[in-house]
Amino acid sequence: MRMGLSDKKDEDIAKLVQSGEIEPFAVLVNRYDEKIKRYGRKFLSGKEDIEDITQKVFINAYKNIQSFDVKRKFSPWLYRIAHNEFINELKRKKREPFKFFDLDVVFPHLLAYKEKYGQATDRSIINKNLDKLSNKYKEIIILRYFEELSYKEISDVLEIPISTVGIRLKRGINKLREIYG
Amino acid sequence: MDNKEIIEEIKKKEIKMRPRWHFILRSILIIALGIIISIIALYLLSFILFSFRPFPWLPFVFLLIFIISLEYLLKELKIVYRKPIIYSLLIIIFLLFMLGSVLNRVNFHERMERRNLPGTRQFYKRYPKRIIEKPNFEIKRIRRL
Repeated sequence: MRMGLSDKKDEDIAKLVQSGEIEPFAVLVNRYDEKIKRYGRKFLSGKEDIEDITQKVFINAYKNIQSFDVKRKFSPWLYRIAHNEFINELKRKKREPFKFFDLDVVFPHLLAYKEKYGQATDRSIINKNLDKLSNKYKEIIILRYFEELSYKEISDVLEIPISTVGIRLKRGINKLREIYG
Repeated sequence: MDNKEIIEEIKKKEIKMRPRWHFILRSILIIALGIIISIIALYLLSFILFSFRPFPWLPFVFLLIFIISLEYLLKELKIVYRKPIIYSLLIIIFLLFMLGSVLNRVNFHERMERRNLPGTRQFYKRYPKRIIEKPNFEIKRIRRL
């Protein structure tokens, strides 16, 4: 592996992979392997499932790397692939049917949720009670508080309006507070 | 599985990257499909405005299907999915109404009806041009007192 590759930004490494080099892709796998597994663990419980799907995520990312726009951030693009893979697995297992259409994404929400992590929510409290939430709230909370993605990035991962990210986050946190008491 | 194993897997299975043209072609196809759907939706909406009575329910149902399909296609775009659906939906409907009214202004459907083209002949026969009934009232002389 060439010197200094690990110092490069994700987007620069992706550009190298796009040019036909396979080795730099290992750096991206190294950077995101644990994150994608952690993300998957919030949806699926089986360790083997998570390993297999994480592998699928990276293989799909490699296959489709030419569709990645290097002017944009790499992480939302990768999480989008991961989201699709984990959701497909959930659908396959029929644990919870995902709605094709949700009123949340139709109308604007005036109320933007700006609460910062740690201000009124504790990661351990969230973690303990996360399974009691439905997927539509759970996923947003994971992306915001565990993966530390911005509203815009979450909007790109889930392909939902930015205002919907805010309102779901607010509702999810409120539900967690109700559960926690 | 670590990063090396994934790279080995890619090499072993000879997994190839999809070429850039694959994604460009996909984008072109989506744009082309979007244009075709927009033209059909525009045709249907202007036709509904043209033949308002009796209300053409079947073209209306198809129009709804095409508008939903168009919205679904546009959701591929960042500028669309980042905003609530209602905005893009209202813009689509507004543009269709505007352009549909323009088509009716230039008597597009009357010309099509006159041309009697094989594909549209039955269509225009089934839903003829709306007839605006003239008001039927008598003008009474008002006696001046």
